[in-house]
Amino acid sequence: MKEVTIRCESLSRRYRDILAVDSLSFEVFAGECFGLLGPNGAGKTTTMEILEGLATPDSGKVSVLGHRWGNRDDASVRERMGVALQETRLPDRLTVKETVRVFRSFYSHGRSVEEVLDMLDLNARQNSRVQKLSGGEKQRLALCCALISSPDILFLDEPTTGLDPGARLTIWEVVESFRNRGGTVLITTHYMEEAARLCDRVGIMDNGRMIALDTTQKLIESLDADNVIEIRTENGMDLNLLSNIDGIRGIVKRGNTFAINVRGLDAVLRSILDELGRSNTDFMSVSTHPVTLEDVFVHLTGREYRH
Amino acid sequence: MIVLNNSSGSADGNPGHGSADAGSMKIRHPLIELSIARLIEFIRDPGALFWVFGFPVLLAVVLGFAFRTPPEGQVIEPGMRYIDFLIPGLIGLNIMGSSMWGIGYAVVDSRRRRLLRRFAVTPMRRSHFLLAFFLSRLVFLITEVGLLLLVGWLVFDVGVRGSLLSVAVLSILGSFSFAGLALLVGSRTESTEVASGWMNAVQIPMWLGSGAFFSYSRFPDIVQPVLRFLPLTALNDSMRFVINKGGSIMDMALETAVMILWGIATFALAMKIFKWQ
Repeated sequence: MKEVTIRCESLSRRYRDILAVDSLSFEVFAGECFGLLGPNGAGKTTTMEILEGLATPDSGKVSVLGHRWGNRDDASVRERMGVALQETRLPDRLTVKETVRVFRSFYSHGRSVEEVLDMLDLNARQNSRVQKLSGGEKQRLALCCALISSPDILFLDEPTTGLDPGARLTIWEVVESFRNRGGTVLITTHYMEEAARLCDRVGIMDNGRMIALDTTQKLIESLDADNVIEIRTENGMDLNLLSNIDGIRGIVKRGNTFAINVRGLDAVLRSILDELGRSNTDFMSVSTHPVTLEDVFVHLTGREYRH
Repeated sequence: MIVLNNSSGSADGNPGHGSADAGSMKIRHPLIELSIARLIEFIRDPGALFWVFGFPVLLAVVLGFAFRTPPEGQVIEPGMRYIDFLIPGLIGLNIMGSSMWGIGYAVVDSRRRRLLRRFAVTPMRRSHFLLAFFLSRLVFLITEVGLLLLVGWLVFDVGVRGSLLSVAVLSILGSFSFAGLALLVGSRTESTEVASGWMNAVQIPMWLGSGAFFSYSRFPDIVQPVLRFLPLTALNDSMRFVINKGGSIMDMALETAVMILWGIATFALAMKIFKWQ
């Protein structure tokens, strides 16, 4: 039996007319990296805030390290948490080192300031003011503040949004290293490739609900396909044309664009092109790619995945 | 490639809790660290420095010279001139202004930056965060009040007839009452514009009604009790009593009580309704 670090049961939270989180249940096990994946507005951040004890749910139960938020022991659980919130702007006029110092003072145990600056390669910038930092450096500083307590759990809310590939890679390496040493990570992201790389298990969220939850591998396997053929047509296409082709596992139609999940790309693509030719169907483009988490989302929601 | 140094982890490789600060840097109590951070932020803000230190001195010098000449045929003794009346009033105004802007604006700005939320997910004690604002103000108070007294003394021969200790204690009490008021004004809003509006709404009546530039005895009798209960009135009256008349804070029980009461009431209310999220 695996040890549960974070558990939530039938969590719901309403903001005015919108059900931001809709009877959500899942568990995060000790030592795993769990990703909440979904487009903007899916309810990831609200879920995160409830789990961090920043927001209260309208209904449902939350426990973090066996603790329920809202009593005197909150601080002892916070001692063991490291958090990087979305869009925290640290004080502009403090330096990197001064900022980390302040955070260090809140914890009774933890790393030294020098050590976290080393870990995130910010040593050379330690005396620079926050306002002079690049986006990637700011995000690394946010991770310094999250790791300063040497936490057991790391909560990361979209830690690489808007960063260039190099800066993103740096953050990924730090998260992987933390996880490899036995730390538990809960991360939200709208980048499919980020979830695929970092997460042991991924929960896909849409409109406040969990629409799928499994390992990246199993989620992709659930489509029973290895490739996706995407055809953009001029005036649509008669789907009956495709009904006799072996190897088609699913079709999602969006306007005049068709995403077709297939097994055995070569044979299926030939057959489809034959059918299109025979029926004089005009198409503007045909493209193929191996199945990704994004296709799982498209398949489950019938919508294109937008960041 | 980034490698996490495992030196602070526990033996089984779990991140766990590391050793208490192995580095060379000594980390102090969170209240001290927060206060120092506030001080640093303030010192590095040239605009704030001018409004807190430069502007009041400028105001004292301009007004002091403008109202220098006594009416025809009258000789006014030092201690009875307008500048004697003005200097303690300006000290009061300055304590109010710097506390209100220095604290109220900073709190709202921290909320807007989502910094309050970030602090709220740490084990930081919330009272430490709020008290740090007050503590960092105290450090500046010495310079603020000292500068005005010095200019008053050197340029206009306005001496402190009472004890400097009384002046110091009154400054701290005044600062305390306005710190509470500032926290209350900044306790919920996320907009610096809204906060600025409230800050003006709170301060302008006291600019006029608390006897900073002219005696509030000119107002109708019916509003006198209300005016006397304002924190700035209490501060100005007691400052004048000490600076001009050589009185002691001990004889200013009502004024002292008014300031303490404002401080405690506003601080407690602010703590209660304060919005971290």
